[in-house]
Amino acid sequence: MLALKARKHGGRTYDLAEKLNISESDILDFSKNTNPLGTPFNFRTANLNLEKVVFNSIDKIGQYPDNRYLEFRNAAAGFAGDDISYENIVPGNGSCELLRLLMETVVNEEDLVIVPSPSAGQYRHIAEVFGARVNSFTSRELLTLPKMTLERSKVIIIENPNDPTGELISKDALLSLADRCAAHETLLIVDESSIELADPAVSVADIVMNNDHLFVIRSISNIIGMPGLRLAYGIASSSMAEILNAARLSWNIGSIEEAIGTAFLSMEGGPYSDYLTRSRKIIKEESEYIRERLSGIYGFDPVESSSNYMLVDVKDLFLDSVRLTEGLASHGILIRECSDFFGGEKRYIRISVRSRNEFDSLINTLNDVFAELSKEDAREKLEETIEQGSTSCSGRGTCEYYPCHFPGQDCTFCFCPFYACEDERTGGKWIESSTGGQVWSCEHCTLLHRPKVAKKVLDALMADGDTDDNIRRAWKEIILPLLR
Amino acid sequence: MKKYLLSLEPCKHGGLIRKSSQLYGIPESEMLDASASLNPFGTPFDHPDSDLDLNELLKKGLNKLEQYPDNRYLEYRAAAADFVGMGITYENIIPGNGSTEIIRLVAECVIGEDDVVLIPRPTFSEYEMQCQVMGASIKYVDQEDIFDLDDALLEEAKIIFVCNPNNPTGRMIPKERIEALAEKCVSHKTILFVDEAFIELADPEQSVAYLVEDNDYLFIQRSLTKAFAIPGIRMGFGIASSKFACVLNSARLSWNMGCIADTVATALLSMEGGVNSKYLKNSRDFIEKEREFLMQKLSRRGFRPFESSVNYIYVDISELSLNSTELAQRMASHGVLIRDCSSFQDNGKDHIRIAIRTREENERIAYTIRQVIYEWGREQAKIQLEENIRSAVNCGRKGSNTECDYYPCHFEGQDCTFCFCPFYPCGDSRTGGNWVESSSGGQVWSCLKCNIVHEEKVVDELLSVFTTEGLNKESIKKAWKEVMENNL
Repeated sequence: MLALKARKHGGRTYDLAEKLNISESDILDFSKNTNPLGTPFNFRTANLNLEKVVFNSIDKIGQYPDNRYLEFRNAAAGFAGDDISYENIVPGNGSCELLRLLMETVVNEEDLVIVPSPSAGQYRHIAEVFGARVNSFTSRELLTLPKMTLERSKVIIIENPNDPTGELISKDALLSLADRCAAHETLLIVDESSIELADPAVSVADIVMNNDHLFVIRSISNIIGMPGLRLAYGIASSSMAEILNAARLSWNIGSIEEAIGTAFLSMEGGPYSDYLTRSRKIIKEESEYIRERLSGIYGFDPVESSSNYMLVDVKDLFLDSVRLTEGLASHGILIRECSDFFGGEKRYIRISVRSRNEFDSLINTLNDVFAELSKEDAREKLEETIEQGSTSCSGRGTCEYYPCHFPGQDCTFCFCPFYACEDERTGGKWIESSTGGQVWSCEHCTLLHRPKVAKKVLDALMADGDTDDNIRRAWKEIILPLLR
Repeated sequence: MKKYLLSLEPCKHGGLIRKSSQLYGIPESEMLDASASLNPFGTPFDHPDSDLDLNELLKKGLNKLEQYPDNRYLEYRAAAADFVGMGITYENIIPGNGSTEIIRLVAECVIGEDDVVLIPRPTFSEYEMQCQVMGASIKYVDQEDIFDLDDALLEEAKIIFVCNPNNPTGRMIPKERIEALAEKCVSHKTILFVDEAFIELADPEQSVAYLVEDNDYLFIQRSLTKAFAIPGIRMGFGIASSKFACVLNSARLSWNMGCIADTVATALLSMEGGVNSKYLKNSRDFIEKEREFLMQKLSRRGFRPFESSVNYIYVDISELSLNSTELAQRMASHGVLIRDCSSFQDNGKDHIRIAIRTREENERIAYTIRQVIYEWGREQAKIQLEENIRSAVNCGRKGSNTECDYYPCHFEGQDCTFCFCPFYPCGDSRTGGNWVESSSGGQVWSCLKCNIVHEEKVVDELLSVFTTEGLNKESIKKAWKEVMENNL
């Protein structure tokens, strides 16, 4: 217990708005995994009025909720499938509470718990609260775990679709894993927190009644775009659900939460309601658009996703995931930096599917972020160059881009101190960037790479005085005469 | 699953109003719930001077639904710290989704399978419930003994739960005594869990929150649902040393409170004056006045109410012929819910807990108790009477029942077949009967001076009617006319 670290979550938009001194509603949040269509209460054909649902439930807040939560459980059963009854449903104050309930009812200190990789830290965290040993495997590995490992593990957690990759595992593969787990008396937890936004047909909820070693988690908060509402439910065989319902907190959800959840779960069509069908359609279309746009930008490698978010590999970008995230944040745009999913490697970001307009703003902002950050980089390199004099130059042999201008070029000014000079007499010109905007290209300017020029400019910049003044003087006295 | 969980019984709570309403065919709006111990003064939203509007707060909360809550809950924790006062800061506060979550969290973090847990009885049942989930070995001690516990027992125990004021007894332990117990617990490295869920409705001065910062073995729990009468919104918090609180805050669910509870609770805790806000002060005054009233009403034969410091009264009814379960069921059939305390740690069926309500409701509680006992008496009498008549068919009248504690209640040699008079209350003063003042206030028909149905001759005449025609409205009417009228 003493080694546990608190997990800081949420409040990101608030903190950022505070920092940038702008309104919270001006922040574009691509870091949260919520339904891009918004809540069903704002969806016309859903015919649900949030205030009405909430104000109708106010009468009940002066009474203790009926701790069996029959209405909610019935609605969840109806939503989850034909053969499922309220006796299969365990209500939860968010999916984490359900995970925690399973850990405390199943896991003893030193038991082995297997979590998916990559995955959010919550699985590991909750297992560690109960003193479990934790191992992680990729989805592929999880589906083909050797018999020995299955036998030794108490619990296996698998996420479908996976967060952050958005990968969806086929139902057949899961069914066979469920059989193997049951045969080894290993509890299989399938976290289907966002399955309604991907493909509800791959859910394994329909086999719980014949399997005492399977627990399916469904979340409501993200699906209906209301993460501030803590609400989820688990689906299990009636004998497992009975024990969990006895062991859970007697009142784990409040009357208002129950009312909102019941209203959503009772929508006509369940997982195939207009609202959810339309949500999936939008997510599919926008994911394709996002993938196409991002694939066109050098350094962005989006991973194919079946869900409402997309993992992007930025290892070829000149920025790591942390700097990219910070750069966008300074423009009021939040994305999810993923180094915590990947053992600290600053290589991935996760972008959630939002509206077309919002995504276009993200792309447009990328331009500014790149320009700013490359300028920052150049300046840093320049300072370094000035500090170290000509000893640091060359680059030949050590730089993978050499020769970027001509063989024998001088590399002292790998980053040009005059960028972007916007003077076409240098040979430079404006070109279309991969993100859509205009960018100043130096491809055809060789001035600063001529050894003599480089030497002169370096001497000028190394003179006493303010660097910016020195740059201006060097431009005027050394470069301009060369352009005439 | 852990084996010991297989025998776990679900805790049945809440929804009593709806259940009883369906069972007895009484509309929910006409049910009076004196089983749940909520502030009878109403919610702060019922009092305009509290300056809080529930609808506004809910709208504010609803607006935040589309954002993840900040899981540090800084505003809520700061508001809770200010509310408690006594030098507490937000670093001492652990937010919770109702008090049961807090009990569970402490149990999870402290208790391992087979660890010894001390629970003084009778007390709130959630302590043992949550400890059972952890597989603890529960040892019960008497409420009276918590200050004289054996050193060996304290040494062995991982945690002890003290509810102050205690639920269901309503007894308040002065802070000096808790302080002494806290010191003793530290020396045995035993966690002292003090549940102050009702303290705002009793005397917040008796809180020992001021002790936590220097004591890593003390945990205090506060609930908002009772004091503010809003159980449908799950909110509460724990208070501990910043070190202890830091561990618990790391171990709790990252998002345990939704933004509706967060918004409403923060507003409630920020009311001016904290535990001494006008609303809470008025609540305490209101409770004290109504408690005196209800205490007086409950001081009747068969009822021994305990001295209470809070908004409920614990009553020993061991001398009543009805047990607690029967009494609670009969009250419910009249639309009044009281708490049958047999569910508190094998407490037997000798105790009930009645919540203090408004004057009008308290009067209804007292009236219903009277009615239930009266009805029960009538039913018993009728059963006895029918029994006597049945045996009279073969053996004739009963004669004197000298075995009876009350014999002779009318005259030496009286016949006891009609121990219970079939004509009661006849209201006819020619019999010698008369109306007298009852102990609980109303008028009651007294038969003290009527001997008629105990005279052998009359008994024989009455039996000749009842043994042939049975006991029913018509036969009673006939017997009055044919037998009684001639003997007046």
